[in-house]
Amino acid sequence: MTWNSSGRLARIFIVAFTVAVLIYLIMPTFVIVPMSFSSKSYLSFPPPGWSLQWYQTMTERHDYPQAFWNSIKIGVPVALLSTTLGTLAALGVVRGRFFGARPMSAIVIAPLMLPQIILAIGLYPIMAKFGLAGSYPGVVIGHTVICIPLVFITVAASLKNYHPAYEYAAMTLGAGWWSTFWHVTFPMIRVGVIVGGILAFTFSFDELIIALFLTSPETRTLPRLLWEDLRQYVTPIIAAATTLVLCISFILFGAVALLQRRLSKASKS
Amino acid sequence: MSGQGAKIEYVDISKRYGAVEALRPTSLTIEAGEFFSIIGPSGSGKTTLLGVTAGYVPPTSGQIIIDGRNVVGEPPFQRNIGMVFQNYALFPHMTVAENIGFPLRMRKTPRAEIAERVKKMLALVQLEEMASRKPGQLSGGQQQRIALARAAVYDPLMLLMDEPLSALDKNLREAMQDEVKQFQTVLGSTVLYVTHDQAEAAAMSDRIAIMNHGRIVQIGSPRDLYEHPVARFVASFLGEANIFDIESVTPHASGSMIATHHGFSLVCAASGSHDGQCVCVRPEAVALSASRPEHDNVLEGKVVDATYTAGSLRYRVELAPDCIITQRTPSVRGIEMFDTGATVFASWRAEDTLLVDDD
Ligand SMILES: Nc1ncnc2c1ncn2[C@@H]1O[C@H](COP(=O)(O)OP(=O)(O)OP(=O)(O)O)[C@@H](O)[C@H]1O
Ligand SMILES: [Mg+2]
Repeated sequence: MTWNSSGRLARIFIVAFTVAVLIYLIMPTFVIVPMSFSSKSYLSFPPPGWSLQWYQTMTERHDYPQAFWNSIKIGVPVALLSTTLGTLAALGVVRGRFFGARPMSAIVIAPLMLPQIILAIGLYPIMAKFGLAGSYPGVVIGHTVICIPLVFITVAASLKNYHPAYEYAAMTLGAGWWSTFWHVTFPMIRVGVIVGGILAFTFSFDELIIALFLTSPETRTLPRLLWEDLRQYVTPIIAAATTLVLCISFILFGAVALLQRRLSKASKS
Repeated sequence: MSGQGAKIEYVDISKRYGAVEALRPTSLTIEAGEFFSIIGPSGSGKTTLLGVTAGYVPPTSGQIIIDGRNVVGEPPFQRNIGMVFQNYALFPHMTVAENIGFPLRMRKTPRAEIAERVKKMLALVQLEEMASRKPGQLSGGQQQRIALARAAVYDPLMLLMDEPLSALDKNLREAMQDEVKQFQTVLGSTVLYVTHDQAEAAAMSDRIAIMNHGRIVQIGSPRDLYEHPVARFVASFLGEANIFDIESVTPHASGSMIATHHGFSLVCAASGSHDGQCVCVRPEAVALSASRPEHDNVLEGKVVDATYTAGSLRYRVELAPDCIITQRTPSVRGIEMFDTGATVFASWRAEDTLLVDDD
């Protein structure tokens, strides 16, 4: 009886605490959304009145749409490249039997752990030397370096989720290396690969520091434009653009959550 | 559909993982069409031997000769060997029919022929109506049969099975033993079968190899191994064994006299040295009686306990402090039982005093 009631008390406490943490985490995000519908030309919370004018201004200006398309033009190749390379790296490290496979995974993950500013400072002179600073390939390479570990982690997790006996089985049944990958390995890790790709795109879409170093006014991304705008005139147009980025990120994270639920359901059955 | 199995010869095959000798140099010949089992404790190298045979574990040394051809160095997909994995490794994203058809698809067999052979296989394992299900929707025993069908549909040179029944409950396991055996007889395949379970191996195999610490300790028919174990490990791994440590051995009219650690004198029909040997007496060879019988070996003791199970009655008798002998007789209806604590005489023939290597 006492145990039961104290258990219930503990549970209520845990739930309350979780809700508080969630509010704390999400609150700042949701402050920006109402501000984007402000009727005045300065940022204030709560907004004094409501309008859609800032969304309209945003689409009418030439720099916001261009930055938006730049972000997509960079994010999509980043996602494709890092998905391919990250998957290959995970296959090599998790399934490979070569000496040093373990330390390898630390090296692959390193770019994610390092402060991005260090990576940006390191990448800049290299890109400049190859004439890639400010170009699309330059920033795509920069983002891919950080996104490979994201894909690596999700794909390595899917690979560790099942025993390599499935691949051995395919091979004893007559499947060569490529057939084994295509008919057995890939279907088993598909969700991990897609989740990794979405995370990579989302990362690239939100990333500022590397974009600051490696993009030019022609190739600048949405986060960079927001940052530049913030330093000059703080209008609700920034809130509108941020809300747009937020929406896209939330949709993609929602997709990830759905896929992962499917994955855990599949691995349970 | 019945392809004649191949003959397989291992010549000094070995596998080392860093400092671990998973498989010590081993030579072994398995005859065409033979049902050959390997038993041994966990970590003794059974799966390693199968992996080396299938080709996904590269051996450290040695040759594997299948029908006269050395296959070491060939990748698994060129070897034409079928393998049933411990947890079946059925592809979860393919249907039962697609799973069984997979090896044929890899061999570029025409579609119509694939369908026909898959159907035949499903009929053989009596699961025709499961063709379009996913493996996750099948019971353990059904999955096991599909795995068997998939490994055999392409007439492989031999079938490898790694503890295929260990995930099933006891009754199903016994039924499946008969099915697997039947399947092998129909197809005439050479089978290399790995199991933990000595009774399972005995029930199915032509010959059994017992492995320990990466090496084969003894090879023989189930009866051979039980009646003539060469080592203490074999004697106690296969069934139950009463082991006596030896102090000295002296020649005797009908073999030898053995003085044991506990001060007993045992008569043995064989002659031996006492270096590195011990005595093994099977529980069935021992008889118990209330009065001292006329027999080659007679030892007096007290009944510690009696266990009555389906089919047999098992006594434990204390012959000396720290020395308990186990005795087993068929449990016939109305059998008279000794009370716990009763004084009894355990006796056996000189031929049943076995001298084995003490490893
Ligand atoms: N990939 C590996 N890397 C390192 N050591 C290994 C590897 N595979 C097996 N071993 C070692 O080799 C030895 C033999 O393993 P193996 O899997 O052949 O045993 P087993 O007889 O099949 O055991 P079980 O009955 O538990 O399946 C063990 O000591 C094991 O730890
Ligand atoms: Mg094993």
